[in-house]
Amino acid sequence: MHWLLVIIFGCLGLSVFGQTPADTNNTIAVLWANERQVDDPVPQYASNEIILPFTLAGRLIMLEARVDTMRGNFILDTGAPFLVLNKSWFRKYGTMAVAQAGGITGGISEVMTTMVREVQLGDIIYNQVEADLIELNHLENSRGLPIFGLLGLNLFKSFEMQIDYDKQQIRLFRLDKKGKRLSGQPNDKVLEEIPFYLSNNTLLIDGELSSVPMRFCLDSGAEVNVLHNRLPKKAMSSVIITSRSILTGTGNRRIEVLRGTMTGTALHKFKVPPMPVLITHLGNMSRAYNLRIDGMLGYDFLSIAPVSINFVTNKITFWEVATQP
Amino acid sequence: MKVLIFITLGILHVLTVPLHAQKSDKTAPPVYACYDEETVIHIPKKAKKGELDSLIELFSLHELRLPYLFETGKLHDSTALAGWNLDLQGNKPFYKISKASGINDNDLQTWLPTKPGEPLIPWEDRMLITELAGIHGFDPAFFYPTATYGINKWKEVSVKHLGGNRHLFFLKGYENAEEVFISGSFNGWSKGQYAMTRVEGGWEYEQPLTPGKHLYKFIVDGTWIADPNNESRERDGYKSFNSVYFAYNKDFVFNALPSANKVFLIGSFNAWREQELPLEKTAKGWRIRMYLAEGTHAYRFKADKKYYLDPDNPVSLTDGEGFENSYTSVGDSLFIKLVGFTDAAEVFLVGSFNNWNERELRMKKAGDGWIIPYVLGPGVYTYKFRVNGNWLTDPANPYVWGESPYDNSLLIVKPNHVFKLDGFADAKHVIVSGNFNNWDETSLKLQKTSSGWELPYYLAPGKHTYKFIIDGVWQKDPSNKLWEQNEYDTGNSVIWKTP
Repeated sequence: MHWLLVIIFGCLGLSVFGQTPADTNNTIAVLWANERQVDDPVPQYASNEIILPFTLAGRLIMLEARVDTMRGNFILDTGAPFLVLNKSWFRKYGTMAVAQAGGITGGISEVMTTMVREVQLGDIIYNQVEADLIELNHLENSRGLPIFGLLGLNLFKSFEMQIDYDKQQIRLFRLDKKGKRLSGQPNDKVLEEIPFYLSNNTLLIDGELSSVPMRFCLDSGAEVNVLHNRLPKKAMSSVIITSRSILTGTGNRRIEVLRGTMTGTALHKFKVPPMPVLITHLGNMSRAYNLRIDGMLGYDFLSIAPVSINFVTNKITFWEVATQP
Repeated sequence: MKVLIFITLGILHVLTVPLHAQKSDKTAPPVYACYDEETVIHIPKKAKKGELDSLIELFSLHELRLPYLFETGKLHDSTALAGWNLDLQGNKPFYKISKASGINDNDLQTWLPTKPGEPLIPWEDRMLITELAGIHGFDPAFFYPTATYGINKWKEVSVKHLGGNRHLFFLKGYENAEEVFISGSFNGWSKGQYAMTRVEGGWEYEQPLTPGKHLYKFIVDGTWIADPNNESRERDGYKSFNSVYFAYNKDFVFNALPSANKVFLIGSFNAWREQELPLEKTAKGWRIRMYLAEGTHAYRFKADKKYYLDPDNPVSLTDGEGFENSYTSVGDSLFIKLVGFTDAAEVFLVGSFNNWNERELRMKKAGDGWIIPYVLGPGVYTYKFRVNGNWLTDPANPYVWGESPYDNSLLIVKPNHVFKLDGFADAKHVIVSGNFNNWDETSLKLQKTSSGWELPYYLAPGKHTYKFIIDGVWQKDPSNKLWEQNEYDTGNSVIWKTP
């Protein structure tokens, strides 16, 4: 399967088709239209169910994986479209520059990408995996641990992936063509079921905030939910803002971040309980892509109950916690 | 309908934000709201100064110059110039201050992926958000646990000390499991590298450990479990527990009263808690094995409600309050020496290790100078001598931190890393500067050796970034392949130190 990607952003990381460097009169990154083809890596494994224990670094899921000879911590980031390696640890890898993007200053930098011979995750082996190389030292420094990279969405697209924060465990189920688990369907009670769709390896959910249609992206790399700060008044009427801060982001940009609680979130039939949220300007998403995105759902959403993402049926399922016998 | 929404909001507000400065008036509009079209701020007209100040802080409203509004009933010119409008709202109890979106808000920018391949909110900025949300990314106590003392509490002993640094972990049962891993602070909480061996009745794994506190769990076929036979547990930072194991380094023996009913060890290390550390009965008397941190500790035994010094330990001192205690040291004694000054009336050792107490560590005259034995754990310390009241750096120590007169001698106890730079025979000065010394550009001077330059140093567990400064020129460590980019695009060398 070929995915034509230009620039790959993690969560909100949609990619752009045919974007031209026309959008130069504002602060949005200029994206070049170099086409990029990334194959979904094909997992090889023996069992129908793979269990991956994880530890939490803050609210980030830290899995152990091996990339060629390097074995260590990787963050599960469903917001990243594919494998991302921390440049510090993989400098020796030959890189090719596949795309370019202009930053705020109009400078041009390259997307460095490389080909990894083998990735091992639990009992799963992937061969010939394309990966981006980026500096992840801020992430690493804030966690105080060596972090080799991010495990992005396309590594998991042939599975049903279940995330259980309480058990600190990822379960990957092998699926048949209809999306049923080969290990047998579970007896666990389904609490909620939400359809999703993929757009350029970004997992999107349509929902509502105070009955106003919203499009969210699902991102295990988001330690807190984030909403765009320019939503309609009606939608924001169910968001309680409790404080406001001005942060200094990269490039000394002053960025407004509001803190609050989002109530009134509905994802299809699922009335989501109130969740903490940060509200900030996510204009890039709405403007750089044809697809509008209003917010990202992260840890506070994914930890409501054990949750699974079935990439064949395109359904997110929350499961009732099985009582211990 | 509107009223209903506001009531709900008011209640939720109180429920979710106890700290909130807003009055719990059920009809109160939100203090701060931002929509696609405008940003709206409501300030109670009768807000008292303290209330107003806390609203300004909570919502970063400094630029609105609200005290001026309260004084004059008008917006300050600069606030109006920034695009804000004031609505006095007649008799309503709130000022409404609003600004249409897009007006003069260029100073507030968007998160921007400055580097291709990054998420739309770059990881760098996500960390700021995480901090703002009050999420703590890393607790060193899980990876590098420390303790002053500790004893193990078993249902059944599941870690055996085999002597030296060898410790054997045993998980009883789980005989039908396919694979069991051990994960803990001693292996970076690895999840799939340290497989236990199947033995009769369970699983075992031999792990070298230094004396001290260690945290661990087992992973049985992918499922985390704390050691079921270890009663010593601590919260794991989420919703479960880690098992705690202390690798011992100290025995206390008390054979004076073999017929006592109960004997406890009490000491400075456990804040003199009286019934916490019971001794076990032995053939000759009583004994307790435990972990005790490096350093000097005062202690006594309490046998059947009476206190006893350690009869086998000749070192005892009074504590100034009429109690006499036995003293013991864990770790190697350093002998800190000052050569010369034999005519001086008094010499004290003063340093970071005793909070720069000027009259605590009196040195003794010995031979051609002055000496004091002192026990310190591994680390980096600074010190000076005080000779007849005058400060003096150690003339025999080439390592000095800071510039005169604020210079101190540098004491590295049990260095665990040597900064080494090969070559540069013609260089005049080589300095190492890193996050471990706040990037100080003068303190840590390397000494010239036959093949280059070096400085033995102690680095705490964790990540360290550094560079060499060779005759004023910053350079990455040429012998270290691990480096990360810095804000100047020149890179910093990186060292990860494990305990």
